[in-house]
Amino acid sequence: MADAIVVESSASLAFPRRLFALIPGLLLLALLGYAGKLTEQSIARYGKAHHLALPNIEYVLWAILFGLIVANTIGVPELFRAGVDTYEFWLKAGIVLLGVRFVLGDVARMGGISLACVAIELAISIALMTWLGKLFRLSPKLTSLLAIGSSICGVSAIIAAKGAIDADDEDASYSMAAILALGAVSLFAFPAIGHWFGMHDHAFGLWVGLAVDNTAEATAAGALYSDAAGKFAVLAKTTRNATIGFVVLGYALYWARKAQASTITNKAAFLWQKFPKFVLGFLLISTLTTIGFFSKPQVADLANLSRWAFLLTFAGVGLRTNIREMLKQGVRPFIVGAIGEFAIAGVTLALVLVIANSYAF
Amino acid sequence: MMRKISLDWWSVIASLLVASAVKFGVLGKIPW
Repeated sequence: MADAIVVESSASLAFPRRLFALIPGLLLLALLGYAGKLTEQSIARYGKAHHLALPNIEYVLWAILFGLIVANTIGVPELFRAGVDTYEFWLKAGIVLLGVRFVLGDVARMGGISLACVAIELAISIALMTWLGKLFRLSPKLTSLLAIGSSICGVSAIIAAKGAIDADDEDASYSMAAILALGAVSLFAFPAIGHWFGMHDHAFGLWVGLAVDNTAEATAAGALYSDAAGKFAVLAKTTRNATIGFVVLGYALYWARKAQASTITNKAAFLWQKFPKFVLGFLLISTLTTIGFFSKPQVADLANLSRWAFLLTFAGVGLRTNIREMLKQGVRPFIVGAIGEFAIAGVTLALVLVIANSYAF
Repeated sequence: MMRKISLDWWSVIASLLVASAVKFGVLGKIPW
């Protein structure tokens, strides 16, 4: 009995203690994110005061850069880790709240276009990565993980697939490092290419949502281009994320048939388990906006809250990008990933440019 | 034993709570 009481009291203490452990990292995210926002505003103010045409560099880039500098110079001490890891929570909460900026008609229209593009992108990415994996003689499961990571949503897809296909930890960390390194490059390369092609915000958002693998990087690359592009990048990326269950299920069944992964008895339960639930939150908020549940000022307030959540996310993207660790992972998976991503970016760019012309956006 | 709530669900729950707080005036104006 006494033991039971001790266990119960320590369990009830664990939750507040865990919350308390998040504070240092959360403060660091807020500090770096806010420093990014202040830097953007200060540069704009300086340019205005001195009549200089300075380029408008969004807070997104500053927040990521400050995070990158901290992570790759002094590093992120253990004390801050738990709080920094919450960046994924802020990303998902930011996406749910972003639903307030979409009426369901937009979601259906752009989501429909995105879904058609996602289907094409999935087929090309999976075929290409599988072929490249064979060409470079990567292990079949590493190839599967790279194909899943590049076709759907980067790290979370790899984590979801790792358990489903019984892949090694080493293969999972190889493919995650490759996807993350390429995501870091995409952040800077995509907006530059978009500007070079003079892409419309909607077209750029769709392209980023289709071609950048990690949701955080896709959101950041879109927001770096413009506010509207960021909004559409999230919609296209969310559509892509929603397909995660089907692709992982396909791979799980493939490896189970080869007797190298456990069999799946209930496919519907598997699909539901892998489905990203924040998509439902996004749709719910979007539905509430469509039926006029929120007033105009409330919509503005919720959109601002979504921006604050993304501000924390972007600082986290920089903080968790450890360049030295990525270089340590070996060069072959990175080359396969880079060739594949380059080809996928090219194909999806062509696809989006054709669609943008047809739909006039 | 209590089932662990996933990060996805936490993000949905937290966002809906915040949206309700904005709707019913618990949170004031949110600046950017």
